[in-house]
Amino acid sequence: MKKSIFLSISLLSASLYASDIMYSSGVKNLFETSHSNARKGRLLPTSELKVLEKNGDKVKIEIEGFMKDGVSNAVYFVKGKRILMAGLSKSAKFDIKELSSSKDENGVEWKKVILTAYTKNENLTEDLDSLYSKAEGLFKNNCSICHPAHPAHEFTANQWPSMFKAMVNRTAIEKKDGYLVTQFLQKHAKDMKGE
Amino acid sequence: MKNINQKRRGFLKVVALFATVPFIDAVTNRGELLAGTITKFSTKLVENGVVLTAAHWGMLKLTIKNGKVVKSEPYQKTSRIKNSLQYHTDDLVYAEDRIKYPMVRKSYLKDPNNPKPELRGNDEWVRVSYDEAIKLVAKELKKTRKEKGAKGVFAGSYGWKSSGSIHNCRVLLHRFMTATGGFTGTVGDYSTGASQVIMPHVLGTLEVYEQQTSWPVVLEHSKVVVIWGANPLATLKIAWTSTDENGFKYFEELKKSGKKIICIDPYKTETCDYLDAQWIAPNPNTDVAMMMGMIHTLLEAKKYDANFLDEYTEGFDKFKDYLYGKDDGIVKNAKWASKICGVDKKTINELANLFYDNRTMLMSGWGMQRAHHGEQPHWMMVTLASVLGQIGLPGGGFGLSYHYSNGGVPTAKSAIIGGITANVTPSKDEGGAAWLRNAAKYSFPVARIADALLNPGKTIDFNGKKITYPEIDFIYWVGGNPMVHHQDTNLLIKAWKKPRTIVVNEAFWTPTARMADIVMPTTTSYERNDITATGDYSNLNIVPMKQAVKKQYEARDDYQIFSDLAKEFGVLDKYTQNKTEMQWIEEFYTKAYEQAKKMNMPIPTFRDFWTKNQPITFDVPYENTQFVRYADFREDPILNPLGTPSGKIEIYSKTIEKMNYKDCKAYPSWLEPAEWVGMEKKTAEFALISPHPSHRLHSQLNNTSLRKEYAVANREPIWINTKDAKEKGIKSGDVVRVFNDRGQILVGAIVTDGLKQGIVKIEEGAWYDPMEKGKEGTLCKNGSANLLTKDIPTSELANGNSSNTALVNIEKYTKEAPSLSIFKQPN
Repeated sequence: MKKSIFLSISLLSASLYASDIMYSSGVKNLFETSHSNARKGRLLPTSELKVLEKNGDKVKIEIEGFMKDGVSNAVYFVKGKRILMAGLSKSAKFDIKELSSSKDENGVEWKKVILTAYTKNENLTEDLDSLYSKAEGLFKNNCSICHPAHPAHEFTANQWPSMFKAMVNRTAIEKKDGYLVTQFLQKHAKDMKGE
Repeated sequence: MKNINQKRRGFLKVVALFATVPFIDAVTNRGELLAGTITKFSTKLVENGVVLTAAHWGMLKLTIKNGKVVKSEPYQKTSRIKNSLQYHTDDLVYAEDRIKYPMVRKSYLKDPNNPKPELRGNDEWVRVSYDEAIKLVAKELKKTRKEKGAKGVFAGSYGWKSSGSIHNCRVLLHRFMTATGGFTGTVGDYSTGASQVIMPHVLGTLEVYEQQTSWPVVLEHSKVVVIWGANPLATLKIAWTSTDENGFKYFEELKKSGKKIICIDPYKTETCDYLDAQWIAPNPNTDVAMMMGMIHTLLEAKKYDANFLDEYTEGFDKFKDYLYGKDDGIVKNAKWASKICGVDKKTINELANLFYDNRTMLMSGWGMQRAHHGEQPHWMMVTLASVLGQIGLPGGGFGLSYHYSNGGVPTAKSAIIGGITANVTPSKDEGGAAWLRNAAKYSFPVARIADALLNPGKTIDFNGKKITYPEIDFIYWVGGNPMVHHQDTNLLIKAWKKPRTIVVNEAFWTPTARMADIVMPTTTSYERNDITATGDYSNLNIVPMKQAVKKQYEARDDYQIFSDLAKEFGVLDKYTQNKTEMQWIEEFYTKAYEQAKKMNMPIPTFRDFWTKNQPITFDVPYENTQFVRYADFREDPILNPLGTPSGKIEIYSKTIEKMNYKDCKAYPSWLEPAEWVGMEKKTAEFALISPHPSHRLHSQLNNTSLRKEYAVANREPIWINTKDAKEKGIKSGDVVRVFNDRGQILVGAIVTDGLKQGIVKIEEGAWYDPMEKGKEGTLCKNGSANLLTKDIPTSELANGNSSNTALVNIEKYTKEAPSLSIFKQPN
């Protein structure tokens, strides 16, 4: 037990300087520069990011995702599904590097991109599993009071946000946790196997 | 909390009458609930006074005299509409057919390994001690799990279990089964089996259980209100938690509003009468054709919103090709529709024009989707609404939940109480963890129960997946009555004889309890403490459900029964978390308390809340009174896409196209049902509809004195059209035999003009009362409609029930009518 705590602490401190894979544990603001405090984007929980460097209270990060043709303000988790990783404001001028481009099954073009941004050095974790466990716990403890909870793989990644939104007001799940639960459900949806 | 509106204030005056409820006993309680547990809460009862509780049919004021319930009445009145269900609590508690003791079927008790299942329903009952019953259930459950695995145990259970957050028997059953090694469950429900599967493909969400455009918006903006296949005056008497009763308030306001109101239904509902609405009577199962006729009329008249279809929907062109008969050569115009639905062409045209020319809200019920091809009606209605182009506008579009749980009553800003869940870690040594990973694999659509029992190993199609039925050898049912709610009762009886063991927890000798092997007597919700919210959509109140009277006979709470069973499996601590009933209630309340504190709208401490025995009522923010469903989507379909693959309303679904089902195409379509009045070789003369009852919650309350107010010739009524009745020589008050090749029932005739010719109506939910006990095909003396309904899936897509697809014959019953055997003790 002690050993693992020590291990995670040492990893955490190391992560501040090295190129490390981290996950957002809550909804986080994205900034264009290290000294800017103007919120130009929002990063959703459980999003994977690479920490490049530490600048004061902020970290410079890279997010790899997909952008849909015609939608300039959203970075999605995978091609062809509306699992939002980051929403960007219309005036945002982030550095977005295009890696490749391909079409989904409906013929719509998706670009694979790397977005570089700054975010506060908080609410970041290496432990994606415990984020998912927390989300799953919230889901099962709140959604099985009135009816048996629907398994995450019962609905598609696109369906889950509206399903969840329709029901969440009847539960004690707080708004900030709602994003976490939605991300968990989307990323474990019926059409997400093997991705 | 402070700004309770003026109207509500009037109703709240009554609270002063309520007795203060004891909270903590001076002497430590004897731990009645769980042996060895010390409770800090009082379990003292109010001997004389008024106690507040709640049921699905609302908050109830119970008058207690010398420890007995003597009077039951509504806690509040929100309108002049009477909720007939609220006055019969004493009938339930002191019912003649209460299950008094644990009972075991004689042959089962003699040899559980060879229990003669064919004798179910017609064997002797033997009283056993509670401890003996618990040990027997535990032993046999362990045996089945060992022999057949977790999937051999069916505990999907289903039904309108009593209100309350702790004594939620279905969840308690699932919690127990999860903790001890797993079970086969179900998906979906009987109410909206078809729609809840098709709507996610069309609108990306369930639709049927979601908040509606709020009533104040409807009252302000809608010019025409269409109530299509719904009877809210009957169905709003109840809600899944407990009704907030404000649906009635708004229907009263709708009546006064002077708006054009149209009821489309094969029978003239009490809602239609009450609202003095225009009555349009299509044939059952033909609404789809009628809607198609309307769409054709609108397209021809260029009365449609091309922009809406273009920007917000997907695949309308493909549907249009079908409508105009590109492949089959049949143009589905009003004339075509008229022949199918039996509503004249002129009326179809007029309605279509009326809807387009005025802001129109189409409020639909669910009866039309409880029919063969039940996926189609709401899909077609969404298509019609898309053509009209009013979706997302104030007071326009469609709503599938105004008749249910007070949909459209604005949502309060409220704190939410917790509730017991099935989320426990399964025990490793029972193989439970492995089961949990596979649990969903065995779950089948709920209305396929008879098919599953009869055909283990059979694989069915379901919404793009394949499901293989497990071999079920043990059934545990709580809080439900499948012998009444499932279609084709005789087929279910046959199926019911397959498993080795059937256990039922019940308060009453229901037809289902009578068909069990082991019956555990349970308390009614008036014999235990609990807590509930009211208003499934509004979250308006938190209500204490203070125990009103002592537990009757040897009745136990489901929580105790499952705790004691958990003990037999060595998982008592896990199951109860060492909490008593009151400790759970405190925990659930505290969840809301903490939330309210954070939201800066403090509510009383649990102690004050419980002691005062009054509900907490939350405020409704103005913005919630202005909610317009799909307004956000209409405003920005890119930023607020629907949850469908295209993000738009899918009138054509590529997902469904890929499934390649014969009985559900990729676009909404008219598919002839297996039985209907217009079919070529009719198997029987009349179409039977079996809507939600006006004076019951499905089968609940059939065993109360309320029955006297609606029964005809001491049995369930049948509504027959005047001309049809004359032809058959039937008068009001006659006993009528209704029959087809599936079953036969006796009912009492009500002859009326308020029903389309060729149609008969029998409300679902009368308790099955067989002439010859346990025998398939025998006459039901009390008139349960499901003896006659068809047990076929709506389609391979949803596998919902098809209860409104049935043809029957009727004849005057000339023999001496047998007296009822149900509603009393068996044997």
